[in-house]
Formats: sequence, C-alpha cells, structure tokens
Amino acid sequence: MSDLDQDAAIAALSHYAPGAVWDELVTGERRLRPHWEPLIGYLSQLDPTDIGELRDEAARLLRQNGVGYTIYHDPRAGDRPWPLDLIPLLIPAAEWRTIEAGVIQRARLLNAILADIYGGQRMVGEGRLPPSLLHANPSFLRPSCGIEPPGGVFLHLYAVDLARSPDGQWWVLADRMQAPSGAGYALENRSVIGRVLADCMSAAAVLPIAPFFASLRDNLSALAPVSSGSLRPPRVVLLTPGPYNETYFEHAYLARQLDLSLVEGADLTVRGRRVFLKTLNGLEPVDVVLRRLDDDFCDPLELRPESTLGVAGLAEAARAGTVTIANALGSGVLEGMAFKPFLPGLSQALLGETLALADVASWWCGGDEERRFVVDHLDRLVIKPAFPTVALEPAFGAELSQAGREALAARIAARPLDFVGQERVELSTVPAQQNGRLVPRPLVLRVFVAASGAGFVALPGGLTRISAAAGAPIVSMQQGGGCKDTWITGAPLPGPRHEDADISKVITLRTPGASRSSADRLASRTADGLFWVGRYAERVYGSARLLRSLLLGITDAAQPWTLQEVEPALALAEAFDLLPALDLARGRVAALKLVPLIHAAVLDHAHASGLPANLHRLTHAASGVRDHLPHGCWQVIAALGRSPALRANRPVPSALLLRLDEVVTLEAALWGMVDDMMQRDAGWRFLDLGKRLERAINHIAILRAASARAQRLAGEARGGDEEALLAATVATVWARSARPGALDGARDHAAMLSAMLLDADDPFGLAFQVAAIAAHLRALPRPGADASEGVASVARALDLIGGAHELLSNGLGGAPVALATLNGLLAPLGIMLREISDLLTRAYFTHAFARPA
Amino acid sequence: MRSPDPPDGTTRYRVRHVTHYRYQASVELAHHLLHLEPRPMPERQDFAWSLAVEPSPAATARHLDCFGNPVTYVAIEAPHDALRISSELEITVRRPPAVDLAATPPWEQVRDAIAAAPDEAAPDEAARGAAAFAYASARIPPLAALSAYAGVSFPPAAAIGTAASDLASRIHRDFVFDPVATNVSTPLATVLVNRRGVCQDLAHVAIGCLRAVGLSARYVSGYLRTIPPAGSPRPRGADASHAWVSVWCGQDGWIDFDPTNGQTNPLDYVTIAWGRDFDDVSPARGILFGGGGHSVAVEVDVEPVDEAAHC
Repeated sequence: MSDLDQDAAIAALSHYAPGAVWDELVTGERRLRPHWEPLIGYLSQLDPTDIGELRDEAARLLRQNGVGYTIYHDPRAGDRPWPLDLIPLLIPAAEWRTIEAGVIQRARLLNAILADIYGGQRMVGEGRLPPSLLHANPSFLRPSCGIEPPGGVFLHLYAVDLARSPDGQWWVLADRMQAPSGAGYALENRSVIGRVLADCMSAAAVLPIAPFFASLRDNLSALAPVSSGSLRPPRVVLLTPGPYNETYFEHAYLARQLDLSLVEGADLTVRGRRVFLKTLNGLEPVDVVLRRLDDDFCDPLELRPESTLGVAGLAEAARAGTVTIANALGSGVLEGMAFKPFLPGLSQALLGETLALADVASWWCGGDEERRFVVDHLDRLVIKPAFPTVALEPAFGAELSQAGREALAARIAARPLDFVGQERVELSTVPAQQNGRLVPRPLVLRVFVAASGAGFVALPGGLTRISAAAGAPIVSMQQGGGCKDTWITGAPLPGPRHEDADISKVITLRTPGASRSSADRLASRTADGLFWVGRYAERVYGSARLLRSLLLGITDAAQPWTLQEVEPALALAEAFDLLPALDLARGRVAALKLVPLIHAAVLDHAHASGLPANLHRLTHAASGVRDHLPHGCWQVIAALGRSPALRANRPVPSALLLRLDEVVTLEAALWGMVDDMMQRDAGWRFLDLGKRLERAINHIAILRAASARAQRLAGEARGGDEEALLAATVATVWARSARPGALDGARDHAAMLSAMLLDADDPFGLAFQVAAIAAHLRALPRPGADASEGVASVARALDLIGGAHELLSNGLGGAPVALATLNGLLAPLGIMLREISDLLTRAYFTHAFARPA
Repeated sequence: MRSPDPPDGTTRYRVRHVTHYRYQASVELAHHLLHLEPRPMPERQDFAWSLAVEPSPAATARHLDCFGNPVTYVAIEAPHDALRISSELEITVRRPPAVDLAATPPWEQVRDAIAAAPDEAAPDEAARGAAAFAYASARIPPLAALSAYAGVSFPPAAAIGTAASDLASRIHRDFVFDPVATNVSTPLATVLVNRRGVCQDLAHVAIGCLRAVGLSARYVSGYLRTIPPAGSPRPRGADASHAWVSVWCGQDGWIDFDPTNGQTNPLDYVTIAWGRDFDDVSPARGILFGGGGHSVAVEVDVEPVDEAAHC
C-alpha cells in the first residue's frame, strides 16, 4: 500500500471504534492488521457513491438469485432478503492452517464418538462417558444402534461455530451434525462478493472455496453402498422438508450446485429394503441421501411416527446397507452441550491425541461437583440446555435479578441433567457497513468440514454471522443480524487459480456429454409442480387481462363503457370470484364504484382469488421446480410476485392499470421464455398441459356466462337474436382481453365467436387448447406398470379429450351457432376438462399419504 | 394332567398370537416392525418360534434392537385390504432363583450406583447397563404425581425388593383394571388421574414411580398363561399380550413384578421383549400408505403343553 493509500485508509477508519474485545481489523493500538491492507486500501479509494453502488449490485445479484430464507408465518413475505454485508471477514492463511487442523481433528473425533455410541459403546463401558449422556439424551437415536454406515463415515458434512476471545484465541461454541445448514449460503455469498469485489479478491490472494464442494460431491458418490452395483453412476438426492422450511433456498441452491435431485420425503419410497425415487417412468433406485431433515423426522416407521416429511423404511434400508444417509441417522446426539466437558478425554481415548481446538469452558450439571460449581457461579456463566430438545433460551446469569438467578438455580436442582453452565465469551468484532461507515459488530464464524477419500477437508472460509448491534451477546440472523463472506487471504495457490466468482465453471460435476441424470427421469412431484405453475400462471394471466379490459373500458374518457358493455365483463369477473355480485339496477356504471373493487382484486393479499393470492400460489409452486424452468423464468416469477403495497385509502386507476400492464407483460415474457427455451420433454408437457387446461376452462366459463346473458336478453326481447348477442358479448370480453386492438378492426362478432371456438390456429382459441391437450396426453410416458390405476386414468383422460375434440368439430361443424346446441356442448366440456385435471393428478402425481398403523 | 407347577420348576407353553387387520380401503404399501420373536435368554434356549404373514411379504428382515430384542421387519408392497400376522411359539419357562426380597440392598444404594459419576478405574458394568432404563421415555414422562404416589413405598433404607413389591401391590389395589378406559395412546397423566387402565398403563405407572425415585425399571412385554389352574379365576389381561415391569435391584439383578395382578407365580409369565416403555417393544407397529380406517382383532392363547403327551 502506498503512503497515499495508507492515509486514505486511516481516514476511512477514523470513526471505527471497537470496544475492549479482539477486533479483527485493528489492533489494541488501533493499527490496521496487515492482512486487511489490500481490502481497506481498495475501499478507501472509493467514494461513498461507489460503495453504495457496490452494495446495490450485491443486493441485486442476491435478489436475482432468489436468495433468502423463508418466514414460516407470513405467506406474503415470501423470502426475506438475505442480509449480506459487503465487507468480508479476513483471516490470514497462516492462522487459518491452525483453525483448519483443529476443525478437521474435531470432525475425526466426533465421527469416532458416533461410531462408539452406535457401535459397542466402549466409552460408556470404560467409564469415560456417563451413561445418562446417552440414556437421558432425547437425541440418542436407538434405532441407529448397530447400523454401521458405509466406510464408517457418519459425518459427511459437519459445521462448527467458532468465536474468538479477547486474547485472540478461537473457541468452539457449538457443533452442528444432523443436518448442518449454511454451506450453501457461504457459497452463494462468495459468488456474489466474488463478483462485486473481484479485483480486490485477486489482489488479496483469497483461497477458493469451490473445490470443497467438488470434494463433497465426489465423496457422496464414492460412499454409495457397494451393493448398488457398478453399471450406473450412483444417484444422490438432497432430501428437503420442502419450500416452507426456512433454509429452503439453500437446499435448492446446493442441489443445483452439486447436481443432486432435490426431493421431498413423498418423492421417495422404500421397496425391498431399498430407497427409490418416484418418477414418471416408475421407480428409480437411490444410493445416497444428503438429508436436510433432522434425525427425528427421517423415518415415521422407526422414529417420530407423525412425521410426514420423512421416508418410511429409511432406517431399515440403512440397516440393510443399501443406502448411504448423509449425515448418518443419529448424528444429532452429539449436538448436546452436555458432551463438551468430555471431549478432551474422549480425544485421548479414541484418537490418542490432545484436543487442539477447545470448547468454551462448560460444566454439565449431571455431575454433582459440576452442578455445585454452576449454581455457585451463576452470575458469570451462561446457562444453556444440555440437550437441544430442552426448552430453554440461553440465560445470561449476569443479566438476571437475584430472584431470577434463584429461580434458575431451582430449575437446575429439579432436573440437573438438562443444564449446562458455560463461560461467557466476549465475541470479537469485525467491521460492517452501516450508512456508509464502518462499525464494529460481534461475530461468530461457522466453519464446514466434509468427509473426503483422504479423511476430512475444511472449507477455506465459512459463513460469518454478525449481530445487529455492538455488544449483543447472541449472534442470530433471526434476530436481525447479518452475514459476511469469509476470506482466507495471502495464500500461495497450488496450481491454476480457481475463480470462485463463476462457481458454475468450477463445479463441473456433470460428466461431459452426459445429460443431467436427475432430469432424465422426471420426479412425479416435479411434474406436479410444473403442471401447477402452468395453471396458476395462466390463471393470473387471464384474471389480469379481464380486469385490465374492464378497467380500460370504464375509465376510457372518450367513450366509457355503457352498462350493457360492462355487464358481461362483470358477470365473468364474478364467475372467477374476482369481483363480488353487483346490483346493476342502479342504471349507471359510476354508481357501481368499480375502481375500489378492482383495486382489491389487483392488490389485496386478503382477497382469496385476487392476483396476489394466485401469484403467491404460483411462486410457491414454482419455487419447488425452479431448476426445471428455463433460465430467467424464476426471475420473472419473482418479479411478478413483488406486488406493490396496497394503499387502500386511495385507489387510483392509473396505478392499477400500470400494475396490470406489468403483470400482463411479465406473463407474456414468461410464456415467451417457455416457448423459446424449454426443451420439449415431459416437464414441458406438464407445464403446457396446466396452461392449456386452465385456459380452456376459462374460455368455457366465458362462453357459458355469455350465452346465459344472451338467452336472458333475447328472452326479455331487448335486443336482436341470441346468436348475435352471444357474439357481441364474447367480442367485448374475450376479444378485448385476449386480442386487444383486434376489436376495432373486426366488427364481425360472429366471426370472432367462431374463431374463439373453432379456429385451431388461434392460440387463444378453445379448439387450439383441446388439440394441444390431446397431443400432450398422447405423448406423455405411461405411468409405471405397477400403477394400474394411473394407466386407467390416462386412458380415460384421452377418451375425454377425444370427446371434447369431436364435440367442437362435429357439434358445430361451421354451421351458425345455435345457442341451445352450444350450451349442450359447453356444460359437459367444462366438466370433462376439470376431470382431466383430476385424472392427471391420480395418474402421475398421487402420493398416498403415510400414516401410522 | 400334569401339575401346572411341576416340581422341577419349569413349565412348557404353546403360545398362539394372531393379529388380524382389516382395512376400509386398499393399502398400497405397508411397513411393519414386529416384536414377536422371544428375546434370547441364557436360561431358555429351547424354544421354537414361527411367524406367518398373509399376504406374503415382499421383504422380511430380522435384527436385534438396542435392548437385545429380535425385531422382524415386514414389508407388503402389493395392494391388500387385510393383514394377518400369526406368531406360534413353544417355550419352556424356568423358575428364577428364589430371592429374599427383604434381603435386597437399600433402594438408595441402588439409586446412587445408577447415578454415580463415571469411574474409569472401576466401572460398574451392571449399573451402566441398568442406566438405560433409568430416565424418562416417550410414554413415561417425569410427572410430579408419580413421585407423590411412589413416596409411600420408599421409606429411608427400605430393601429395594420389598419397596418395589409394595409399590406393585398398591397399584394393583388402587387402580381398576378397565379395558375400555384407555387406548394405546392414552397419556400416563390421564391414567394417574382416573386410576383405570390395562396392563400396559399400570406397568407404565409402576415404571414411572420407580424412575421418579431414581431407580431403573423396564417394561416387559410377553404372555400370561390363559388357562388357569383348576379352581383359580382366569387372570386379568390374559386374553391379549401382557405387560409387567422389572426392577434393577443391584447385586440381586432384575426382579419382575406385575402391578396388574399383584402377587404372582413367575412360571405363569413368558417374556418376549423388554424396553423402556410400550413404544420400544410394541408387538406390531407400522406405516401404511392408503387404507383409510382399520379394525384389528387380536387372539392370544397360552396353554401349558402336556409334555407327557409327547412321549
């Protein structure tokens, strides 16, 4: 760094004031630690506007990638934006080597303890581990006893939270073993920061993290059970609890990066003590399950019987040795804080090594002496649950009143086994961006370790989490904290440089030439998801077009719609539950106060069938299948879902019109992308089937509403003949919404009606939809031979669509449309189309739900 | 006819245990775990056991669970609307060595051995093993009412055998055997309040009381002879599988008590499996796909074999 840079750096830090803890950036004498020089030098050359731009770019990249974590209780909120801070945590390579050696040793130790606990329990037998640590521990998984996982590997991916005390020493806060989260977020953070701070990163010689994931992926395949045979590559799936899980983004992201099939419990089944994936073509064997379900939920047969997230028979398959579960069932047993005081002794006993990376000093109240010590020192300890299932937020003794401490001591005395006292660590701080300034924030570093052919490897870096305020004792993203990329700097790089910024280039895990193994066989749930994306997207599209033409009509200053023109559109909006039933006897359109009603249908989340509700359904369906949609579709769907805020007090037609235009344009873009880019495989057929069925069902609703109106008016002798009335109605509703602009040119209402019904070349016409549905049904794979009901369902659906086709081509036959004939056709056709949707569900998507016997 | 309690202290039984499920709708796929095979015990190796399942399972497997009980895994992978599981057993029960309950160790001494800190120099292996049954389990949570009820039977320095026997007798006296008061999922707290239940519930009460004072107690699942000796009433709970408790008594090992029937003859009991509570050793548990509602009929016959007839 030049003198000039040095001055700028010092100026940039003039307001940075860490407290009496270790600060990662500056020393106690407020001197910049040398490994930060490249980054601070780089940042100090930028003015606040530049830094603001970098931050915005990072936020946009994150949003485009759809990064976030879900909030359970708020269906509207969707994913919360990912709070990634621009400034990474920097750790010099030399210091990292020590941490790395420590976490790898720890992974070996924990793996060895698991092997002992679920094997011979020698450590208990030899008196090195109190039996109550197993038998009073709710996370001890008895069905796992005696199951030896392939290769003796229990931990395929392990995470450990580290904190640095004021003397600069790193300590272990917690171990995460059953389904550790965060590695995917670390990868995503790197891919964003690696782009935003690309220059700086290469100057700082940052160790790449992508090879870690390649190694993880290789190891998952390598540890597939030998029995799975060698004729095909092992199939590895990532088992997620589903889109409502708070870290679902990470599951989908990791599955994509590691080229694994993302599956839910209902996608898997156990037959003949083997795990299979349900696909449209039948059952496909699964060799490795990387699970993001907690231990208890993995198998309703042997574990929590009410769990609908797991796979019945999974433990039996593991026992039979036909599947590798990563991490092994029961790994969560060691997450209990109660184990911590025993780790140094176990390290000596099992590895013959001194534990290098120590835990924050902890005392388990299961021992008499330890309990007395904890109760006598409540004022300087943190009291934590001994086992994860004990309901207790960490209690900071120093912050409790005398009465509070006494109450806590009483709880400990009543159930001593449930409590651990831990020394309180003053967390180190790291600079974070806040309003253009750097401020010190407490941090916890999560480091990841993966099994590899050669033991264990650590991800060089990790997920750094910071708390929202200085001095906050708990670091939690749930409580408003943030996260950071983590750089191991100044590393001599072996071999050619990897660019983490383009992760997709680094992790080329697919065998060249081979297509995605997971895509060859479309999972039933994926087909189901694509079908519903088609239906909901089209439902939104149709609603938006209808509301838009209605709004345009009533607000046309030059020639506003008359009541007669409004009426058919209203009838339809009512039929689609977009608008309530209105009393038209008032005689004037203005008296109907339509704008606030349209406003609610466009923007109110509480409107059960309004745009926001259906967009939410669309987003939810799409989130499960986003990897099966063409690139960019997810961004369009996410953009559709970002509904503007509802301003109930001031419904403005112009704002509504802009929103409706936006929805219609984005929908058109979505279908354009699907048409242009999507491979014409079974997945596309299900998506298009959903769209065609929805569109056809809508058309029939339009026609039925229009013909009912025509019959009524003709009966009242207010207008001409029925057919002309029907055609006029269709023209005002259908043509205006489907073919805006076409109306003025073509006044021939009858021709338009005929086009809507019979023109097989008009992609908005009914005949087109029916023909497309028929083609799809014929081309779809037949459900597997074991699904006799499915085969029958598809045959019946084909019959139905054939009937519909016949009705349309022969029933009308180009002759003038007789209303009675038309009605006679439409009613059964509508029923048929809905039935086809149900039959598809039965043939392809049904997962009969498991229940305890 | 032989004496039901022969002088050599053994009785040979023939047991037939049939479970018959009927489903309202067809079950497409079913996984079942059965605890029907008798656990291996050194004193009774001469048994013959067979299992028949209809419809025929696509997969069966056997393993020992963490308590040493044999478990049979059965998967039926074709649609079926009924399932019949029949277990046939011939086994000899031997009278356990006589124990003078009053001479068993004071209960506090046993309690302290279970809770003792690990001692690498002199690990107490029996106490390590007993500890598996000393803590709360899914069906037997720690309840204040359990400690309150147990207290009377555990005065200071009482012999553990006498105290446990007293507890079993009190439960036998205070609780009403009532096959309709509870079902398999009735919580223990309800049983304690209503003081009614079947053998499973009363065993849970006894185990909960013993654990409440810091002792190790296990749930024993098995059979009780259904044909009473002449002139005796038919014992309660004998028309189904039975459950009782076993208490760890330190140097005197595990001693069985039956809180459902009070004082009993050990030769009337056939042990199949033991665990912490019913959930660990339930004779049949399963997960069904499809099926709708179901009904279940269970038949158990336990008859002494007239060994003379074999000669």
